Amino acid sequence: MTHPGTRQLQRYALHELGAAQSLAVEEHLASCSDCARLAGAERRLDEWIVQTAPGPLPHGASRAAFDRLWAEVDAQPEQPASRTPATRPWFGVQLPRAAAAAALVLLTILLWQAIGGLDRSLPGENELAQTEPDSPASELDPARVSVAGEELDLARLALVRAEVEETLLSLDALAPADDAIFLSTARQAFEPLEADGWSVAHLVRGYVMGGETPVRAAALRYAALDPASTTTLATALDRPDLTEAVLGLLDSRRVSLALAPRLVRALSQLVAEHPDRPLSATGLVSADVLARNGGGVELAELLASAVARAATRSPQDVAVARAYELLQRAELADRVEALLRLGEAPAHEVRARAEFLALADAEPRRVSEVMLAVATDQLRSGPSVRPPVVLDWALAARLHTLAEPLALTLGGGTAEPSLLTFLAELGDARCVTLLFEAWREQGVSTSARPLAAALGVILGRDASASEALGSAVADGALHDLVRLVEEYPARVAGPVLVVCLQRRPRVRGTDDLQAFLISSIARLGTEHDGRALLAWIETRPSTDIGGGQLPLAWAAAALLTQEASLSAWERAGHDPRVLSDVADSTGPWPAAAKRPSARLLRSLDRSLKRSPSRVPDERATNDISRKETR
Amino acid sequence: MGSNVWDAPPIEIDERALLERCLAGDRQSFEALAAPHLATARALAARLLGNLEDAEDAVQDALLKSWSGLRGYRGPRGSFRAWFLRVVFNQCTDSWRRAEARRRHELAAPRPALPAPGTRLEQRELLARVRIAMSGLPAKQRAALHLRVAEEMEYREIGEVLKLTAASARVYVVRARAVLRELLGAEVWER
Repeated sequence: MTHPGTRQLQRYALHELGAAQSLAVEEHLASCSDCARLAGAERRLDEWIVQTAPGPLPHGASRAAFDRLWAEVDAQPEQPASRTPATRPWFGVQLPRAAAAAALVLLTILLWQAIGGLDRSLPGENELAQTEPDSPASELDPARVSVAGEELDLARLALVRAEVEETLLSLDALAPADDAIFLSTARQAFEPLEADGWSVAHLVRGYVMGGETPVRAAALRYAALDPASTTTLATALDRPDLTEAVLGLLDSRRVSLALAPRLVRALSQLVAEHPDRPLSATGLVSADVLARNGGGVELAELLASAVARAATRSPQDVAVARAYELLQRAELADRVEALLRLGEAPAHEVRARAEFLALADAEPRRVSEVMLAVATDQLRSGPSVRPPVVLDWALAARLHTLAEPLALTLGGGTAEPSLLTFLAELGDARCVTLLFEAWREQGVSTSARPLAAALGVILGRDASASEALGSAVADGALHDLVRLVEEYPARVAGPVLVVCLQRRPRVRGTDDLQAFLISSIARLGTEHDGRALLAWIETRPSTDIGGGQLPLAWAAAALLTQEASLSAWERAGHDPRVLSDVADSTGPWPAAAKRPSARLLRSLDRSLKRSPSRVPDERATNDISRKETR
Repeated sequence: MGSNVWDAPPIEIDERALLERCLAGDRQSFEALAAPHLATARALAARLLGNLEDAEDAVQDALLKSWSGLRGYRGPRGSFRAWFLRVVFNQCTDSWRRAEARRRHELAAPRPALPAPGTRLEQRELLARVRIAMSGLPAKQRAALHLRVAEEMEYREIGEVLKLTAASARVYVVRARAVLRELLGAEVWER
């Protein structure tokens, strides 16, 4: 969408937009920092206005205010009740007016119909009679109300409600850390009410379900702390407009394990007692709550039964429920599978992984076997699977026993490219070194060997891997290596290329290969690993670099155009004419490499003038001058 | 009381029935009607008068006027809350006018000044600055903004309190926000 504008943002901040418009604004805010800043400012303004408003009444303040009021009233000569007898309540005077208005409307309609203005008939007498309200309502005492089967005096009820509200609001200023004080003080305040036969849980529920925001927040807090109000909390959790508030409350309190089972039981009860009223998003939501608070198998059982009976609609809900069901079983394989399934749901990934690691610590060998089976199945079942999920956990758990059989399974040159990439990016040297060694020792195919060797170099960086890689290169497996390296960022590919050049400094390959090496080396120079490559170049005898060693020259040029110093090059005893030749090159520069900078060219020029023994030929000097001018 | 909390509906208070009993002189019913709105009334009064002491006095006076003037309340057109808050608003306006008149005969007390714009304020100072900025708004704008943002009232009800249409109440809120943003300056945007 386009920028919503200040007015729209204000309406958004004031919750005046419809759901669709709010969503559109939210989507825009997620991608537009300017508007997000404006919306943030509007929100802050609101927060400050709220924060600068006086808090709730001090406890007992309303009682004191009314006592003062009645004292003043008693001190006056007349009271309103005696002055204005209640023979005609305020709403009574409205009835004649209403009746007159209704008669006027009816007359108008009849007249309209008489002149043919309406083409449909008015309701008949019977129909009109049916629309009249039943008379028994008028027989009820308007000052009494039936609550849970009990007749209550309205005034008394309202006063009690006000008292509960006052208590909750005055205590809600307590910090979350003082929840225990909140609960004990509230209970103390409510004791007289309960002694008088009132159900505080009931009153709290009234505030949660129908209260205004400040009271509702305080009432929710009470419901979360008082076991007698857990059903209220569960009901609120299931109400779409309250779910967020409940979760926020639970999150801020890091809901205790004492509350989580109660909550889940209440949800189960809700589902069991009201099969016609399915849970909304409660299944997933509750799973979140549990996941974030370390609920165990016992909770999983309760949750699974609650969700299973909830006729959930979302496939993810079903998957989560199924996962929790599996978690209940004693079979390790099922538990691992359940954890993997949970791990694919973002909301559960952290918890699933934590449980998996604990499981792996306890039984590494068995978990390895299960993981191997799962990984193998996943890898064989097609490209849609995600072996990294499995391997990520396995590696994190340091399941070295997994690496070896996995290597055998994947051996023979049929390694999944995404797996290799993943292993390289993960950078778990110990595990991949094991993988490499297993691969090598089992005599896998020629094409797989350099890949394994390269992985060993990249991740293991040990001498044997470098040696193996060098042999592979010497064996003519360079093309395979090139294909591997091509997929990696320079920081990963750099060491491999260095090993490659160490082993075969004078590359003699096809034109394509030569071009690839040139571009790769130049890329290295311009990306992260340039200094490592320079360090290697500096260790080489200067004779290695002259005489058409174009790849090295390209590398040097690329390095020097970035940060490496010319003096370092000279200190190493290299001939600056090589660089001069490179600078003079009109060949196809790799896209990733920058052309030599003017600064470099000037430095080079000065260097050449300082070294008369190494004066470049006239052509090169002229070219440098020409480029500088350009 | 009923033990099945699960099935119990939220409790609704029938204002008409309570009011009828108030008019018959039942004080408890009046307490029941007014008590839930005392905190809102006190907050509104404090917003208008600038301090809690005056606010509590104004609410106390408003309570007396409400009790005495209940016959003036035409319930079907609005809630008791709106009517009661209107009494509070009028009471505050009167109190403020009297205080202003007193001040004219006394040495002019310096109004608290806003800190220099651009200074980095601590939260406490910032809130003080917001209070001062709010006090610079016209009374109706201040009341409208407070009722909308802090009390989350509907524009229709705000209109009933301030004798405005719902649309006008909204305009008051929007204007008040604009003025407040201007008064607060960069603090709003740069935190």
